[in-house]
Amino acid sequence: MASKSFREEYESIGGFLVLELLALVGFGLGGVNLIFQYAGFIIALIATFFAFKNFTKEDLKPILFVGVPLFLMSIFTSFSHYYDCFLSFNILAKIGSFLAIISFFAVGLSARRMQSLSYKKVLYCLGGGLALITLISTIITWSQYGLFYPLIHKNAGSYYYDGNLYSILNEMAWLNGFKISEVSQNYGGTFALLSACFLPALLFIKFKEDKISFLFFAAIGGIGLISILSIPNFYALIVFAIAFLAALFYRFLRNNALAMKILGYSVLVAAGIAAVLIFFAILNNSVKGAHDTIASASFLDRIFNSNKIMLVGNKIIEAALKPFNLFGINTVQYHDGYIFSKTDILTSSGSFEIEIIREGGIFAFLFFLVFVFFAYEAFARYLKTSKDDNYVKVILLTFVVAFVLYSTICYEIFPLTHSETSYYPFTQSLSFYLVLFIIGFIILPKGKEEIEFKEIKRDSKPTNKNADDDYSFSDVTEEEII
Amino acid sequence: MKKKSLILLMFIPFLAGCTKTEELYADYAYKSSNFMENYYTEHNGVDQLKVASTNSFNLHENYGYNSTNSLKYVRPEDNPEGYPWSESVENYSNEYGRHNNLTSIDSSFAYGYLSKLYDGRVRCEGKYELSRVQLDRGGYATFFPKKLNNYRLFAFSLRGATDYYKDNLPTPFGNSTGKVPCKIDINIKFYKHILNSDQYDVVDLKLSDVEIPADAGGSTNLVTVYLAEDNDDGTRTLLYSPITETVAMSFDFTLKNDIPGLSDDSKAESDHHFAVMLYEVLFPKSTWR
Repeated sequence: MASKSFREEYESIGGFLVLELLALVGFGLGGVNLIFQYAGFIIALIATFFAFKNFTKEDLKPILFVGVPLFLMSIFTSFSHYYDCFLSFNILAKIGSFLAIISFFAVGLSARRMQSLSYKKVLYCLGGGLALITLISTIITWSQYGLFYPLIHKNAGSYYYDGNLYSILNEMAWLNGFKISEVSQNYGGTFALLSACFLPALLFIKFKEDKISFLFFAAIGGIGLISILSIPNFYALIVFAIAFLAALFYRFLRNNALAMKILGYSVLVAAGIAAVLIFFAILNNSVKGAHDTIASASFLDRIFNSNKIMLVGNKIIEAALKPFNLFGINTVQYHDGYIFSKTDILTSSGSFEIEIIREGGIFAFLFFLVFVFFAYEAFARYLKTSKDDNYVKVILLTFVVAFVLYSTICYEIFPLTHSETSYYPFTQSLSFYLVLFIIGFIILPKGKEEIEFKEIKRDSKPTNKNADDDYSFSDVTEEEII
Repeated sequence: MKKKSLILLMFIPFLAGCTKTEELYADYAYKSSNFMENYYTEHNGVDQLKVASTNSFNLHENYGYNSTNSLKYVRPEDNPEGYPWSESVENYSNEYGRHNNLTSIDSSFAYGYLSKLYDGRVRCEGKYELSRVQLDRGGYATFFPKKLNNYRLFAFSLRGATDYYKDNLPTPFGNSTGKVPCKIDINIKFYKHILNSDQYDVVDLKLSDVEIPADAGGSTNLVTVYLAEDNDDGTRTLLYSPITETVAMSFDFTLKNDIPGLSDDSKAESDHHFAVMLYEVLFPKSTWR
């Protein structure tokens, strides 16, 4: 019997560390991002070491297509001038931010290529962390605010804290490390929503065939959904409904040629509309004539000026387009009498796209768009060609769709109600790191549909994909999983 | 039985009291442009307490006056740390509040409407109604979130205000320099719980003829109270025991100026009304348990 190599022998430790990282990042642990950033980097090194021999030539192109724009974006968002006004964002934090973006992506890439790591355990840990923080925080919220409190107290929902007036209508309790903090519902809702995104897995898992997975995903998703409903958080509920529709579409119509054609065209149209919106948003803030034209047309004015996102967004785009702000909006130095005001620094746009511009400048945003394009292509290819179980695909699909939609309308840069200084940049948020992990995880080698050895190893029993692949469930034997 | 216990367990979170919803207000509460709607008259159950005994002490700015109880308000020259209450606002800075406020001493003071009195804003500081509590002669009363363990001195910052502006009339008190000095008698009671009973001992401090600025914008006076006892050898010993162990306090006042058409009672029918704007209640360097 040939002796096992070092890599083979200790790969399970690498796998364990990856799972640990996912569970802790999901749980949040009070947003101690710096620790997660550097831990992510170290675990990325370890995971890459163990998975290295399983990377192939075919992997190179898709990884570079997605990774290079992400790498460039991370340089701009991490070393931006924008953080100069926040004392806590020192060089260590900037390097940590840069390393983390690349590392979580790399951990995702390696996790797929580590033979000892089962997809199911990845999802268990990811969902388990999210569900646990959601459950604890929801119970604390129930005990401190009661059920449906924004509805019950909508006429008198203000309270005083340290001589200032706050509203309970937009806040909830949160386990922030080892203490309980008041956070915005938008922030708490992110974790509840992502947790709820595990529910669509039940569309593909039969209770009789895999009771543990069924119950586990039902519990994770159920905790998230109950949290959303018990407050209730309407934005999270709407986003969950849309993400669930995407899951239903995948469940019932993914083999329908006409439906897929319509979906393809819809995505193209949506991308076109997004491109036009971005173009006009830039024009609106750079050409005075264009601004006047938009402002005079009430419909366009509503889209580009008079809404919650763009009221702040326009100030950010306008600042980002100035030549001295190309490497991030400068917040501490005057340039020809211009400085980004303190009010603008402290006001959240609510949209992660705008926040990327705020954090990294216009170049960061452009690289982000390139990243999104290739990530979308990789995701579409993954859904189409991967031999992963459908419940895995649908969880990842719902997760990413929900994250993108929710962060577009509800991202909070100051989620702690009683603190104006605890700035949470989007590109350093734990939920963003989780999505980067997923993006890395779904990148398949181009030209090959799947890493063959891995499939053989993972699937302990053959699945008849042609017969009823909706309910095919390839289990993993205990020996093969951690 | 098991099922019932389980159901009860499940409802524990909802029975826990919902602490965050105990004291809620409408957005506009105490922020009205109508002066009469901003009076805070709550006594929060303190006026219902069973009082076993009351020790009243008359304090006066003139040292030695009314020393029946050997307790005195210490004048500025005897008070190197404190600030004179009868001098103008410039004599103490906003930093005094920031460094000595109760919220920074114990975070349990941060919650509730009266957190305005514990947040360190000894003046308006651009926060207007968010920094003050508007009181009529009945004043207010409240329990402290904890029991006072020890302290160095007791202080509060305040000013007077009237609603003459609503009729575009000049105020009888003028501006911060004061055409007519605004004088009030202040009555502060501290409640100390008697162990193993439902009764309280009360320490009643009466401050007479306290001069404060009125209708003077952001100006306030800081009243500092040390309690002292004269010794036979001419030295003075500061006393802390009268106020320590306090669990609740009340504050009320009487306007001494007799100005026709001006009442310090918010319930009285009158052309105009007077209020004390209380900005801060301080127990610098105190501890609470």
